[in-house]
Amino acid sequence: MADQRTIEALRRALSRLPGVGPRSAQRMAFHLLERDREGARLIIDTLERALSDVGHCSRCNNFSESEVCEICSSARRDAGLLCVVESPADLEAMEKAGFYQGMYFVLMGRISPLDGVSLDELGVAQLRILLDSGVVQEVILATNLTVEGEATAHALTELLRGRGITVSRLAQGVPAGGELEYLDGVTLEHALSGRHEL
Amino acid sequence: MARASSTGVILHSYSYRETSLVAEVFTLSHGRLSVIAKGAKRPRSAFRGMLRPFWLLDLAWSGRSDLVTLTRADPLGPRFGVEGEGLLCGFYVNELIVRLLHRFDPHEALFQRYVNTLEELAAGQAPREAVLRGFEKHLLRELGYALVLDRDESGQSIRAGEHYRYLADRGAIAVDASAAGSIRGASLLALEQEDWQDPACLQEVKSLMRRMIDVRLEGRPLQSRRLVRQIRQLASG
Repeated sequence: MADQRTIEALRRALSRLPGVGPRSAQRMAFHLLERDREGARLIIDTLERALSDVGHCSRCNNFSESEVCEICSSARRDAGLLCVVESPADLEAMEKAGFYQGMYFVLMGRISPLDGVSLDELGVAQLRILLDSGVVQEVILATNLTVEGEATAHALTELLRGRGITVSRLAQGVPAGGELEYLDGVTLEHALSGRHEL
Repeated sequence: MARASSTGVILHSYSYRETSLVAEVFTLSHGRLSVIAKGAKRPRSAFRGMLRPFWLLDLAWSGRSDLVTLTRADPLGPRFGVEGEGLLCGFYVNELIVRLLHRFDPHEALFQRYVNTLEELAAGQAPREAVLRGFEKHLLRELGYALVLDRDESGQSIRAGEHYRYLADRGAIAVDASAAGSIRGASLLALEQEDWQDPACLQEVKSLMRRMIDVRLEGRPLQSRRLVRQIRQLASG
């Protein structure tokens, strides 16, 4: 059907979004065309602006609209302390908690050979430059506690070795408000092996 | 709807839609298969935290298509504690299985060997390279490409002091010691017996196995190999 070609193209474009299958894509396409053309315009304009204005911070690699992001240019934060996270969402979570006063580095992913993600796909070259500047004294490896996150942390310890930098890894165990009865065995195991003396 | 269950190990998993996971699994009775665990990422899902690699699980699933639906995943003991370099070796072994085994093709002996391999990588007693060469040898045998390591192409016994060229489709061919790409008989016999007292043999066998695996991969690259190379580069400079 030649008269449906554009709709089909729109459907295919929308299904490039993560978590959107062909059926959701079709629903979105019909909704925008039939019920919310104004919303479609808004999406186009905002996307256009985001694509042209949002890049990566030259220091921490997080998304940023300026050369150096707000956190990295803050004078009140401890530039000697660096927390390495996988994604901007992880950084957001840390910031929301509000207690961390150091700097960040965002890898924009984690090592996962079976997904085709290796070190070259992460911001490791930029991290090396940051470390070479000599300002960083302590690095907290805050990658996720998945096998991919652990492998990423392992690779980074190789990068950090011999630099005289203190390296630590996030602790794992019982979450705040957690009742032992409802914890899974793995978490309990970590909590036990990582227990500390009072 | 067909139901089945087996002991199995997750090789790899990735997010699917908002709350589900799709996993590649190696099972004892059904070989490699792909499962979908619906709602696995929901806070109260029974699958939450379970679908991780390097863990012997009791699995049950239903369905007939290429992607079956996971209905049960219970741990059979603690996870294999593979860490650091051992973790990278684990990725390599998992990638070999994903790339080379066909779906729904049972390989019970190989599954046992896989579990032993994970145990050995976790224990860290045996040299990791030796553990990997042993697994590769069994994998090739299970795929129907067993290496002939005690006789040469003409049926003569392999002699430790001789040199050979090993070709995937012909086996060992006796050559002059100076021939490029040759391997010592001692190395072929070391692989045959999985006896690695001579570290030089391990090194020679590594390049032999890399070639043999590459033949079966038919040009597809192994990401975990690339990763190990990249990490070595990080460490060196």
